[in-house]
Amino acid sequence: MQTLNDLFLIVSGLLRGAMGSWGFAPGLTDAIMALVSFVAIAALVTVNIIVILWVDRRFAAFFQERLGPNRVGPFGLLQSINDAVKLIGKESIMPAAVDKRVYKFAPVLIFTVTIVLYGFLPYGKGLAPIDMGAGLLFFVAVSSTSTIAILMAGWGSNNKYSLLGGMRTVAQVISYEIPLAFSMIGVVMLSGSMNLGSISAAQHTLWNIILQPIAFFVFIVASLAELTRSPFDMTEAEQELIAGYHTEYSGMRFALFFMAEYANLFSVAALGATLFLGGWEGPLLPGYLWFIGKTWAMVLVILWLRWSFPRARVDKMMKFNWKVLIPLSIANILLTGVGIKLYQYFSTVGR
Amino acid sequence: MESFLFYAFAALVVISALAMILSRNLVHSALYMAAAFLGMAFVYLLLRADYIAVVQILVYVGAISILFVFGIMLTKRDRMDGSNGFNRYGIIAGLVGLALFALLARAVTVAGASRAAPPADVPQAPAGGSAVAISNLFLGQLALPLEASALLLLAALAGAVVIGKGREKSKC
Repeated sequence: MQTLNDLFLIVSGLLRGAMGSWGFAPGLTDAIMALVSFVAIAALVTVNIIVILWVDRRFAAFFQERLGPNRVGPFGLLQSINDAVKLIGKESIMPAAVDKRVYKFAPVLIFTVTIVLYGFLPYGKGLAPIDMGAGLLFFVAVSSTSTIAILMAGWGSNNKYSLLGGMRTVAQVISYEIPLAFSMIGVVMLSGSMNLGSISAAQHTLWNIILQPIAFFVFIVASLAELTRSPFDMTEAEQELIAGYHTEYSGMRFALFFMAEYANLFSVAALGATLFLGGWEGPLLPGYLWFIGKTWAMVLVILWLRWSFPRARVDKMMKFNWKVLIPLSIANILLTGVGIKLYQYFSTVGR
Repeated sequence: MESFLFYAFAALVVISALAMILSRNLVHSALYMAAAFLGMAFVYLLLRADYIAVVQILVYVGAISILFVFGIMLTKRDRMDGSNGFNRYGIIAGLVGLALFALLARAVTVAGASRAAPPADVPQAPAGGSAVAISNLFLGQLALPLEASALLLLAALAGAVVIGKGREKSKC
């Protein structure tokens, strides 16, 4: 069981040992190991996107009492692969009046940010590709840079609907970043660390969702807005803005935006699972399986919310953020601080 | 490896800063500025100042440059070509730049001479990164300056709201 748990650590140890015996310099070994983990992350991202796409469509169909894609392969499992091949094969049309450099670079940038985010996640004990002291803060910081890519896409397209979609996205994402970050502070206070691995380990006995129910609620709502998913998907409200910031994109460039959206869904769900559901902590099964399982539970909750609520109005959404979510998350921080101090006081008095 | 990475990121900073100044398109300039900020964050990471790096990304790349781009895009209506033209203050700007460079060069040489040689082994970042040490300082020794700056920011925030609202024209 222990070998299974440490499977990836053992493999990486063997690789390092082999490279050491071939006489590689330590710097070269590190570089090659970084490349290996990059390839692993890229594979994980690709597989995840294909699976999430299929699950999203089947899940939506289930909610609307229809079948969804069920023709290609068993249960329609190969439908997403079909679609991916179709998107790659499509012609990538570039309108004449776009700002060429900005227009071309935006999809690349948004997907780069997405892949970097996967690097911070703790897939198991000691299995975080980028293991930093302030890992949680880095995750938030890096994810905030994707708004630049969205703004580039919206402005570079030289289309008023794209620009409006981009503007809405930026206003929404920047505002909802505040409650999202504040909801994490309670968790950080409880575990006394901003390292995602230590946060998982601190939930060995009790998951944070029990101690931090308000923070979990704020986190879910704010991450829905961060992902610009329904009920907060005004950025690509089809009835108003055609498709928002990626209206003018087609072919592989559109596919990059599309894939980044689903990949972000998984990484935010994984962050939620790490912060509130104990990450890789769990009995019997190896840690990475627990991590993937909890993440998928979070993904299903987000999809479930998508099909349960209609789209909110722009001004109501902003009001809800500034007048409900932010005060709520600040109150949660205060409550957590008082609670921790009371707990410390009574646990010393009892002794 | 370390020095190679440093030169790569330094080149990124310098090139994007130059591109920011030389670009004729205001939006391009703002985007190049974001790239320069990002390069600085990488340099901070190489210096093992991970907290400063994360704040650099969060505040400068994630918020300030976005607000720059946002403001430019919202205010300019016509074509962007030539929106970032050159003006007649080249000589004065050059003098100010040279003075700043001299000041910085002097500071670096003085600091380099007064400090002992750096230790041979590269210092490892403390467990938990520099964030732990910085937050201990902020909530202990430096609590008063922190609160003072918070008050200042609050005043700025209230001022921004008052200015942004403008004169009482319509009640909404």
